[in-house]
Formats: sequence, structure tokens, C-alpha cells
Amino acid sequence: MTLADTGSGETVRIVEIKAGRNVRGRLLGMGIMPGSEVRVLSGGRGGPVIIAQNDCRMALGLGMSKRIVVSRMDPDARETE
Amino acid sequence: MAGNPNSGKTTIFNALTGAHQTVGNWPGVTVEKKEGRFEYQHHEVTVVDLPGTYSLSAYSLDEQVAHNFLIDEAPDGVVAIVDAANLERNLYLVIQLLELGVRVVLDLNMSDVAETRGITIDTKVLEKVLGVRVVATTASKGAGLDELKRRVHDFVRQPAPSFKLDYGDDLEPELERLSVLVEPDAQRAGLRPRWLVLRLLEGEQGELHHVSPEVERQLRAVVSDTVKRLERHWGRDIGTVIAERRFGFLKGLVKECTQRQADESTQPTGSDRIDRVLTNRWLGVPLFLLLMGVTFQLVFRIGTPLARLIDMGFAALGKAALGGLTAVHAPEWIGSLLADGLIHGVGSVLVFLPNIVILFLVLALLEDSGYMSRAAFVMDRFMHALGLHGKSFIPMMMGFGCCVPAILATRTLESRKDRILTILIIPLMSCSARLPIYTLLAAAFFPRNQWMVVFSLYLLGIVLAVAMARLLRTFLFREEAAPLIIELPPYHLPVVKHLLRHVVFRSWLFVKKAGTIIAGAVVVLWILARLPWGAAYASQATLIGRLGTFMAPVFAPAGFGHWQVAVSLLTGIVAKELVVGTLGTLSATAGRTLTSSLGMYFNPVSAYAFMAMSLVYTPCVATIAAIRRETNWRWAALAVGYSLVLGWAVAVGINQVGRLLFK
Repeated sequence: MTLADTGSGETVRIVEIKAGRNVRGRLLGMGIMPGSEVRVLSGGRGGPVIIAQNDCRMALGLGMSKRIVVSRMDPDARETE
Repeated sequence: MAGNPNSGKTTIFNALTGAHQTVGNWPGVTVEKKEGRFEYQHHEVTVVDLPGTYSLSAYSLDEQVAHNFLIDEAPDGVVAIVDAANLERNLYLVIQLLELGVRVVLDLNMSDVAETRGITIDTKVLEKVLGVRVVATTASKGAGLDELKRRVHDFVRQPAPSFKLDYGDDLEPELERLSVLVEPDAQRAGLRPRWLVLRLLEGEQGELHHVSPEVERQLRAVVSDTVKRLERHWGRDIGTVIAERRFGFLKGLVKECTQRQADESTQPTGSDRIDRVLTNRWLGVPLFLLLMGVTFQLVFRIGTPLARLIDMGFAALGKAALGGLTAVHAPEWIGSLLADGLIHGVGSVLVFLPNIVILFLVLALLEDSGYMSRAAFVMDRFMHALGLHGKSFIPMMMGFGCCVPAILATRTLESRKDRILTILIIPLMSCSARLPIYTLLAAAFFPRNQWMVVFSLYLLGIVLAVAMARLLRTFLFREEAAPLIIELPPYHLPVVKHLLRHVVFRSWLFVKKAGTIIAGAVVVLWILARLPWGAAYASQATLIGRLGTFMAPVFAPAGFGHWQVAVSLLTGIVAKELVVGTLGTLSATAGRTLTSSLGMYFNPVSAYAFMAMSLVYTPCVATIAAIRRETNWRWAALAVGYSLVLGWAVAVGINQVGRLLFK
């Protein structure tokens, strides 16, 4: 499933980013890469999303959210900070 | 100065350099370059503000510019501005700076925000691990700046950084091996071997130019082999792995030096709560449109009366100048050049300066508070459907005020194609200079439906813009708009002083740029309207009058094939405000009132066609110059060409169809 399929309140782990090198590179610099954990704050349900990572908030447009493959995180398995 | 966008870098830059700053362009690219200076203990320090970037990995123009500057200009040091509340991500750039080998002073900015969130940072740990001096500041309040200046002053005596990140047992041996290979060439170029190797492994082939040709071939092969081998082993690309290792290290570092008062990391912040409303799926767009509506109300309600004052002022100035010159028996043409030419021409542009300033002010307010990124996000879906990028919306909205700053505002778009596309359709947004044309003709020909008529023209502009976007997207810019990735900084109350300074600075730049071009064009216009000598100003016998007569038949199918109308449209190329003025001047010369002239030139249908033509046809010279500056003369020519053709076609269409329907 992709970020566009998530709903607000969910925590997901990024599995794959289906985009070209440039886009992946930009996301990388912002800390978004396979393995990252992000919280979905709003959006999803087929559209653009706002995600949170630590104290950062980022908005990903429709085209982008559909290209980030994620997996839901089991809340019990999440590492404590 | 380097740092993430939204880290407060600009505020610190302004605080350090104050009024001593210049804004220009980085050579060869349309990225803004800010340079300034300050004095500390009798030493002058030159500060260059690098574009805000998240890293130096050259995935965007901003990053390339920053990276190239650091390599080519080798500054004495870099102040790395870091958002204290967002340490992990902000330090990514710092790691790259340290690996590059520049001297760094770490400026931990927004300390106040961190404090409110209950975050304490042990700067000693940071200093020890990274090997840099750390200064804590709160730029918005001016705290810590003196110490920052002192640290900057101490730069020269600092040794170069010795920081080295451990990339893991699988990668380190490779780094060592390759470093040996590039060492002689790297030393010669003044670069760190390890840094060069990392760049090459990340795929930056451009770095190979630092290496001698013999080594280059061998190096290319070795790097390629190494990368293939490692990527096969990991099952992931090397760029990702390198970033992972860096972030892994940073995670550990941040944990070590940060203490949070309570585990607030999953609690929604104040900004999050505001965002729930402002970026709500259903409320988001209406709220945004409401905000835009309010913006324009402000711009026109406050701006227009002020504009009128300025208009009167310039008229008085013109009269006074004329009077003064006549008194000293100056030749008549000097008076005309001054009054009819310069004062009238430049004045009619400055007249709508209040509109511009208010527009800038409101937009700066929205930008500084953090709302703009939300606006881009909210409009993304809609813009995407139109083939445009979410960030195109703001420049397009600015086009309703004036195209020149709107075109400049497209710099926030990362993709060049998206930028050019947006620039090409901005002139279709009816700028405030065209409003006098509409109000004049609407009042004369549609007295009972004035505002509907004017509104319909704005709508027409938008419809045409969308149509052109689709057309250009299909035939010229075939790929999809670049994906929207935008950071949402926390909302914060803008500091009034900074806001005002920014607006005044920008407005002044605008006046200088637009003013100089228009002043020049106005003089040319005046010459065309005076020659041959002896003819009445702008009468049919003059050069411009003859040009108008020559062109008039072209406009006949559109319903206004009169030489006077053609002349006014010609003056509109210099500045749209001049159209009404020229019609007035020509009537006066003929001894008629403007209203009676209008009745001679137009009927309701052709008047509407004329307004549509004013909306669409070639933008003013200042806009054309801006388009050329931001792209190149080919695109500028395309902009002029298509708008002329489209404008004519629309006007003719309206007139022909209107005649059938209403006669």
C-alpha cells in the first residue's frame, strides 16, 4: 500500500520510493528513505498527505504520496524513544 | 551561511548585515544571491547567504549553487544555521560541510522554540563530537548574535575540521582504498580525498573533472565496479545506504545531547491543531480562497484611493514642471518630454505602487507565518488536475497585482519546465494595471452591469490561462508536473520590523527594475509621438500615428479598426496603464471629451472585445523583460507571439459572435 492509502493517525514504515534519482535524493536529504518511520497527520484516502517525522512536518502532493510504498507498523513493535 | 530552508537563516543574515546587503543572481542561473557585510573589531566580514538547502547532494539547482560556491570560492568559513527543534535533519547538511572540510560554526537557532517544547540541548556534547563551536541564538529576538559575530571573527584561527564519520565495516575499507587512488589529485585540487570518494560513490560524475585524465578512466571503472558490488550485496542503492549511515549516526548524536522534558513527540502541537482546520480535506480550499479574497479586497480597497492620490500628485507635478519650464522660456519640446513623456509615463506606473506594496505585505505575512506552504498543499490536487504544480498557485495569484514580481516568485518551483509553464501563463492573470481600462469602458458601455463585466474579464483570463496550461503541457512540456514535496514549518507570528523591512526592500527593487525599463520605453514612445517635427503630439501625422493607421485594419474584424485605438494599444505595450491615458490625450488633441471619443470608437460589443484584447495581448515591456531574465529571449518571444495571436483571435471572436447575437 502507498502513503496515499493511509489515514490520519497511522504510523507507517517506508518500504520503497518509486521515483527517479532526483526525487529520491531530495527526499533523502529531508530524512525520508526506506526504513524511515513516519506518522500520517492528515490526508491519505487517495490524496495528498501531511506526515510527521520527529518534529518535522511535511506535505507530499498527490503524485508523490502515490509513489511511496509503506507498511503499517505494529504499535507494540515500535521502539521506545 | 548555509542551512535548511525555514531554519531562520534569512533572519540571521539580515540581523548581521542590516542595510549593507545586495541582492543579485548567481552567475548563469536564476537563483537569488544575497551578499552583505558587517564589521567586528575593525575587521570587515563579507557574508554570502547560500540558498536554503537540506543537503549538498546536487539534486536541485539550489544545492548545486551552494555546493559549487563552497568548492570554487572556498570561503574562510561557514555558519551553519540549525533549527534547534529539528536537530537530526538539520545536522545532515552540517555533516556534509564537515566532510567537505570547511570550517564551521554551528548556530543553534530558534532556541526559544526548543525551550517551549521542553527540549534542552547539551552544546558541549555537540562541540566535542562534531569538533565545531556552537552558538545558541534566537534570531527573531536578536539573542546570541554578538557571540555569533565573535565566533565568526575567530574563524581564521580555527584549524580545519577533523570530523570523520564511520560508515561501517563494509563501506570503510572501500573508502580507504579509493581515497588512496584519488589522493594526489585531490591534494592538488585542495579537496579532501575521502569527500571526493563519497561524492563519486553517490554518483556525482561531475566531480571527475578534478582528477587528471589518466586517473579518471581507471577511477571510473573502479568506482563503477565497487558500486555494483556493494549494491548487489545490500540490495539497495548506495546513495540510500550512505544517507542511512549518516542519519544513523545523527540519531545517536541527537539522543546523546538532547533531553526532552516529557515525551511530547507524539502530541499534536499548536501548529498541528491549526493545520487540522486549514488543511482539512473539505475546508482547506474554501478557506484559502477566502483568504485570497480578503487579500484582494485589502489591495484594492486601500490601494485604489492611495493610487488616486499619487495620480493627482503626478498630474500636479506635470503641470508645475510645465509651468516652470515655460517661465524660463525653455523650448516647448523639453516641456513636452518632461510632462507628456517622463512624468506622465513613469507616473502612471508608480500610481499603482500602493497596490503592489499592500500585495507584497500580505503575501510576506502569509509566507512568514508559515501559511504559504499549506496553501501550496491545499491547492495541489486542483492544480495537478490542471497540469500545474501546487506551488504555481501563489505566483499566479500575484499576477492579479503585477506580473513582474509574480514571475520572480516562480523561483520557488524546483522544476524548470514547471517554472517556464507558469511564467508563460501569468500574463493572462489580469494585472491591476489593466483595471483602469475595464472600469472606463465598463462604466461607459455597461453602466448597469459594471462589476459583472469586470469580473467576467478576470474569469476569462483564468479560463484562458488554464487552457493555455493544458495546451503547453500537451505539446511543449510533456512530462507531468514535478511532485510536490514541501516542508510545513511551525506557524509563528511574524516580526513586524522584519516584515516591513522585507517589503520596503522588495518594493524598492520593483520600482527600480520596472521603473527604469518603463522610463526608457516611455522616452522612445515620446519620440515616436513627436516626430516628424511640428506635428501635434500623438496626432495621426506622427510616426506613432502613422503606425497606428497602418495597423488599424488588423483590428477591424474585432470592431475597433481606428488608428487612435491602435495607437493606444501600442502604448499599452510599454505599460498597460498608458492605454487609457493615450485615449484621453488623443481626444484632447482632437478637442473632444474622452466619453464622446469612446462612443466614436466602440459599441458595447466591440468595447468588450477591446477589453478582452487588453487582457490577453502582449504583456508590458517590464513583464517581457522579466520573462527574458528568468528564462531566455526565446521564451519571451513565444510569450509575446502567442499573446498577440490569442488576443486578436479572442477579440475578433467576441466581436463577430457578439454582432450576430446582439444586432
